[in-house]
Amino acid sequence: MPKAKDKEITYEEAMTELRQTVAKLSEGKATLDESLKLYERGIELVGICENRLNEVTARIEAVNKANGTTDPLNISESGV
Amino acid sequence: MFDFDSVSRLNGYIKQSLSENPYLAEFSVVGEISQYTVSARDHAYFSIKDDSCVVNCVIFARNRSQLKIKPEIGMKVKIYGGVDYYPQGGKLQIICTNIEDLGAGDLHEQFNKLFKKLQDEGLFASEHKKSIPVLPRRIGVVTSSSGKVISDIVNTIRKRNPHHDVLLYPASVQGVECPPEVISGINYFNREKNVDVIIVARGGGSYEELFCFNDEGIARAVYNSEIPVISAIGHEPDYTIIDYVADIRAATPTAAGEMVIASYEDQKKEIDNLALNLDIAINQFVDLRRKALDVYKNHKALHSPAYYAMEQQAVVKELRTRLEALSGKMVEQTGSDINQMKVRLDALNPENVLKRGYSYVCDKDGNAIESVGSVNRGDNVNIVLSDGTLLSEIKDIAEKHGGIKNA
Repeated sequence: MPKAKDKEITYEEAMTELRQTVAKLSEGKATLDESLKLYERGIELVGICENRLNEVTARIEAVNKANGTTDPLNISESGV
Repeated sequence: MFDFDSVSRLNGYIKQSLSENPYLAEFSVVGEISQYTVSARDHAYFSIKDDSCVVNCVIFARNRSQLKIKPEIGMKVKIYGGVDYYPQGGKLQIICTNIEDLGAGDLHEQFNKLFKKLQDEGLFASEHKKSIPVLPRRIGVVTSSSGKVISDIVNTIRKRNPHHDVLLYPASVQGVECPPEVISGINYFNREKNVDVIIVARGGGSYEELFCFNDEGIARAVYNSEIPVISAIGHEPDYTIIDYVADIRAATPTAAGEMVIASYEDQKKEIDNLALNLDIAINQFVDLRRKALDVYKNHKALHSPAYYAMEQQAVVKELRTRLEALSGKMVEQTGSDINQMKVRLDALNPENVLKRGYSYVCDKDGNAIESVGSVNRGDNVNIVLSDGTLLSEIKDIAEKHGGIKNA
């Protein structure tokens, strides 16, 4: 069950939580129930991080100061 | 003593001598403009001075139109030209070909003054620096829309991670338009909150060209920005005030591009690693618990009737095997003897006890319930019969010596 705040979570926050989750789980001190919860959350975080990493948009735009819109900006691979 | 026979000859000789002196034919000198007037023909007549001396100068319209600065009284300038002597008036003046604003000398002073002021105010404090997000979803860039800088940044970002958005705020990065436009760019992103990090960038240039980034307004806009700001002005050795206020300073615009985006490959690797560690950790955890549980189970089982029954069954089986083996040898013994022994042995078998209509009650884990004291009304218990188990709920409890237990 993804937490509601996951929509807001930044990549860094998700990575930090994931590292902590793995560390906590690796300690082996948690109860079975807690461990399963940690594992589930860990899997969830892996998904969030991967999604963030792969979010394919790659839009290159420029602010149009005249009307406040953002317009696509053409940039060649080798330079302008 | 040489005798000049006329003023004309004297002045003529002075003019000639001066013109023959190579140091006076072409030189530069620094001074402060103390007079400045423009003639009807667009020539400018002015004078420059230092603490004790003054010299007259002229710059003709042709050269004056080429000037990059607008000379004013009080301005510290460096002039280029040569001495000219006007024999008719007996006056000396410098014919100027170029005048430079000596800001540059003063620029350092301005820089130091602003640096000290902002430093004292704490604008460069490291505690104030924000960290740069590892994976900004969108990167704001304040720079010129023409020129190599924006393409350098975009191409660098694309190379490292092709999945990220760039939003350019076009701004002049030179001259008087630079500070207000850069400031409105930073403010625009802070108002719209549509980027995770801002890069303020400009390509290489002279000290004077980059000087517009030594601006108090820009410094304050960067300081007040809620979005982290990376400065990337000029090349490696160039430092301007914005570099000190920015959350991080990149040596070049390309370096800023590299800095702002974590390598896709590196990040992917770390996520995969963490996912693997997560699996290893949970498996280790489960293994450990299972082992502990096995020990516990066996230990507990010693007290459980089911286990006792199993053990007894094994004993009976063993005995039966031995018996059968014996029976072969003991042919002289009667079958009834053997049967009797069998019956007696059978009586030991708890399974047969159950077959006789007895049953035992245990909890869901198979632990025998030996006392009414260990259950409560409403508990679920299992009644084990010879051919199965009755899943039951305690309705009431009657103790041996008296009434109904109050649950």
